[in-house]
Amino acid sequence: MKNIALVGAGRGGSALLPILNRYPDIKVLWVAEKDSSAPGLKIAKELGIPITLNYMDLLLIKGLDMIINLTGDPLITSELEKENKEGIDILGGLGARLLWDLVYTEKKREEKLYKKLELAVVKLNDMKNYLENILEHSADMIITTDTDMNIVSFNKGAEKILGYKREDVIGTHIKEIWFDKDAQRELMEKVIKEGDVSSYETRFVTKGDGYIYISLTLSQLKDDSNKVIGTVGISKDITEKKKLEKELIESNQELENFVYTVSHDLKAPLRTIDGFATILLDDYKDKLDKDGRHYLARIRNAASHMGRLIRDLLELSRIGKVTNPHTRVSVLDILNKVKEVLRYNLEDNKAELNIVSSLPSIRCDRVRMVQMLSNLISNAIKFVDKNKTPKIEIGYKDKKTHYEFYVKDNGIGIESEYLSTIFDIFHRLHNSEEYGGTGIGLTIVKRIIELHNGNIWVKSKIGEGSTFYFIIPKD
Amino acid sequence: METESVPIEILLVEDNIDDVELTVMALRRGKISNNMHVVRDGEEALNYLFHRGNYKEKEKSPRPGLILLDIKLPKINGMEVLKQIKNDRKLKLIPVVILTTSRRDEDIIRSYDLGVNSYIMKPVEFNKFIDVVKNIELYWVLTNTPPIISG
Repeated sequence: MKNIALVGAGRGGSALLPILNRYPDIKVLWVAEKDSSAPGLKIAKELGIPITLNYMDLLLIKGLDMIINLTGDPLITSELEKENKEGIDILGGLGARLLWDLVYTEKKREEKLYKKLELAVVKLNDMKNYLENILEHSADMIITTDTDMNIVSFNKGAEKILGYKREDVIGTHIKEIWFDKDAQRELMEKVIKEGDVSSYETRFVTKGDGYIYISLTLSQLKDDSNKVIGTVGISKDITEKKKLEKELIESNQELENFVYTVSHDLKAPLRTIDGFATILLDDYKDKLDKDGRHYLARIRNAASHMGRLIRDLLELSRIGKVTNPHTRVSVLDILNKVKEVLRYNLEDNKAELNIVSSLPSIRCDRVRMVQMLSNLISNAIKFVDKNKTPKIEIGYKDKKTHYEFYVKDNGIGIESEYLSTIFDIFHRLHNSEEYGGTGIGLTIVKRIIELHNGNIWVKSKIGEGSTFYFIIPKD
Repeated sequence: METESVPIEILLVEDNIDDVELTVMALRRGKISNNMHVVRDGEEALNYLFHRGNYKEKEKSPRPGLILLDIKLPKINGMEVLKQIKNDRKLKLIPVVILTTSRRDEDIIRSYDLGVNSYIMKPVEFNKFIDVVKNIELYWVLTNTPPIISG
């Protein structure tokens, strides 16, 4: 152990003090400085080193091994040497200068390193602030908890969505602000078991005892050693979405009631019209002349057309609402069923149905698919020139993500300006004397395709026929 | 055939007068001799079957061999009427055919849950309705063998 005293706490002293302090076998016992504003004095005080105004006092210290004169003043060195009775080493002049230079270089290097470190810390801080800002100012609600489920942090989004001030909720148990208490327990168990849960719909209590719907994604929070230290939950306010969903359900309910009314109350008078017109035609044939019978027949035609309209409208409203499970079905099976359904229609019109071999299987609502293809094929049979027999070809192309099917006919074709609107409801291109129908068939076709995440379009040339293309995704 | 000589008692529960008349006419064309009893709402139907109110005298309300029942009825609806028929130890043996315009799945499912024997939708065209009525009679009156009812 070397005991040392310093003269001068200016630049030299303030640089040397911290360095000497680092060495365990060096102890600075005293510092002498007469200028009370010297920068080294503060360091000396921090290190607990006593200070004296008179450097000559240093010679009186017991057990001192060395005095270093850092002032650069040779007079001080010679004065000390003159009175030195204990054989203390006195370092001054060139020796002290060398030491000072060494220390000074070291200090500069340290300062440079320190500046770099400082810069890194600033950058790190900026990054931290940036991340904290994101969390803090996110419009989403971000809440973290410890492992006991007590709230640790609560961002601005959470304050805004729930209405609480963070100081009121931090430290309280999460269940205090969770409306669906059962869901809370269930969710927590899931997070502990599975690590995270995403887009879970639940309700939180808002200030003033209301509640809101949120979509919550909850994950475990872990420290560096992978130990779970709590949870972080990010939630969106989905009250508006829930409201829309409810409205949708209600309007579906209204539609359902409307459909019921249509089917029951609008069909009843139609039955009466057709019933009595038929009875008139059958039982009062002889009392009616030709015109009379003709008008009655027209009444019956109109009633039966209205009946078909109601039936098709009902069918359209049921698609999507009444769904059968999707199963894997071979398209050939579907087409065989269609042939069965359209048997008389095909036979009466001597229609030729050519189906390419090796059709694929698709995942679909089988009943709806049969209905969709029946509609397309019966259209192909219907819209044919009177002196031609219908020839229909059905095939497909295997695309990467989907199958592209086609139904090609030799019919009258569709004018190009109507190609985009033929799927619209009640859109008819011909009067009912030419080609009968309700104008709903292709709308039903399109709805069914859309329910299968597919797409339908048509290519056509007047007089040469039309080809309907539709795609069905592979699984 | 023996059945041809004995007229069948049919109870028609229908509130629409036009439908009543058309059903009578359709049955007439079916050429099966029958006695048609018409009631116009659910309450009257139950009164008839349980011999209450205006139907206290059993001679005036003979037990039907077939009930044709609409769903949408004044006072007590068809579902409730069906439920009470099928909950009654004796009445439940009478074949009940729902004849309606509703194709609501819940109506259909509920009807079968309650034990309806057939659920038939009334077609708009009268000629098809005649076919339907003919088929009902043919099946439930001629083809079907009912259990023997005592007393």
